[in-house]
Amino acid sequence: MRRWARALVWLGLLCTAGCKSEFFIDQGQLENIQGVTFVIKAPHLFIKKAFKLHDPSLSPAQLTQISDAMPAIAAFTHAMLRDPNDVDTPLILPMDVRALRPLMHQPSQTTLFVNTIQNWKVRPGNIEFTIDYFYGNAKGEFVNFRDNYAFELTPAGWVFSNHPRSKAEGLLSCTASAKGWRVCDTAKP
Amino acid sequence: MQMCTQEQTRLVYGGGLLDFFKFDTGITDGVREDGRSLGAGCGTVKSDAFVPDMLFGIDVSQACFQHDQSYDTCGFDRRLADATLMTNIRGDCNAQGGNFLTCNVIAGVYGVSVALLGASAFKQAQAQSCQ
Repeated sequence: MRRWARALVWLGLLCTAGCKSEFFIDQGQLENIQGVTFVIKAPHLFIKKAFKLHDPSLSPAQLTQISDAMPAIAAFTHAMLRDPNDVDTPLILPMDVRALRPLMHQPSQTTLFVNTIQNWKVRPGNIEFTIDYFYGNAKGEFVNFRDNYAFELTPAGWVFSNHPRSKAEGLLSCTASAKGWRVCDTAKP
Repeated sequence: MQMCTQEQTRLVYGGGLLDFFKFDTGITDGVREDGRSLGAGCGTVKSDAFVPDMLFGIDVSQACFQHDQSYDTCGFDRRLADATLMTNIRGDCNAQGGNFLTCNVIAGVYGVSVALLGASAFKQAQAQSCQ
């Protein structure tokens, strides 16, 4: 009996100290992938978490480039997600970036989120990728949308250069994988 | 006689009871199976291996990811973020074929969890995002 009481007290202490502070607060992490370190920390912590980096097709040299460009891509994505009419935080996006909400037939105040940044094509000084955005509709269902981007390395650092494809991939359709996870991809023609 | 794996059986006969008891964190060997970083989806970098992203066969990771990003948006209302988590889990669960009871149980579990344990996480995320 005493042993159970001790175990309960220990669990209670662990939960008070551990669960409340460390366990459920996310301050990010340093992630090592094929010997390349990624700083997954604020600012834009959860955008950085959306980077799909565990991709066997990426070499360490390519991962190094993505690691260098990560802060710039995350800041760019953050700007894409924001309400373009928000007067408190003026947009810092280049003029030739496709506006998302008109493509998604959504008003400017629709809150957008990022799901996955992936489909990397990395060449020296140039990175292409796609961003999967989403929003929750009135029924609580998710609408997923993909667009493509290219970044290039300039003397000022990594900056958006262009859209590799003339059109966004558009709305994604989602199906359950063999293991039951939802996988969203462009609708097959 | 041909032997089938659980995945192959699921493809032929659907999930059924097997899916109902499926709980999964989406972590294998310390790495998320979707290729993203630990903490994307339900749970944080430290709790990702213990907090399920799949409950009763329903993938709730996207609802969790929206909730995380809402907390991490400067000025976002916490009550709205928590309420939206529950709405999204219900809606997304229905879209994945979950029944009324299952969807409400999952939404309730996550809703109560963030209401009880989310305060410090919200405070921290707001401090980070409003810098």
